[in-house]
Amino acid sequence: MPYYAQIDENGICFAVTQTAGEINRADMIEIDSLDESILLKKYVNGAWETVPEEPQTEPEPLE
Amino acid sequence: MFGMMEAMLSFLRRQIGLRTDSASATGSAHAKLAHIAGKEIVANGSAIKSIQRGTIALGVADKTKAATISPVITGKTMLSFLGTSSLTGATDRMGHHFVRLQLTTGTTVTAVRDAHNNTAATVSYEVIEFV
Repeated sequence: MPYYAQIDENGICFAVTQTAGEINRADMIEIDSLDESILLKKYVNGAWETVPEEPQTEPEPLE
Repeated sequence: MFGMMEAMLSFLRRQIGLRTDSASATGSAHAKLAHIAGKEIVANGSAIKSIQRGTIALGVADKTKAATISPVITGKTMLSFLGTSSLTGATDRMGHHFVRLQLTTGTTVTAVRDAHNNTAATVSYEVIEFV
């Protein structure tokens, strides 16, 4: 069963999946294993780059 | 005496049948066996048709993300929530932790949360499709 990393429109990986069969989509990149370490990394020229974290603001209180 | 033997043979042929009998749920024993052997659950040796698994990451500003899976029949498929995690700073506001999962279509698993609070979260799942 193949493994895929799925990227958003900015190239950021938001999902890793072991599927039941082959999937041919531009946003699905075949990978070797269910590697969660690439989550939220950016796919650039065949490599996964860490995206610098934006400074976080104080969360708004919940009701 | 001879008539009785004929009747018994006829009865056995009807009940047991021949190996060449076509598969049928209501036919002879051979036909019923062929019918059962043809069931996908017997041919596969399992009631499970496929298992898919994955992890979805919700970024600091994401309240929903949809991951693509291989096609399943939603009416024969269960989605298992394997847990979620989120690294929180100095806050006790937990809204971003509470992630829900939905099998939104036969090819999509969607993670949803009501608040992101500028915090990323990951959620893992398994999709099990039965025959």
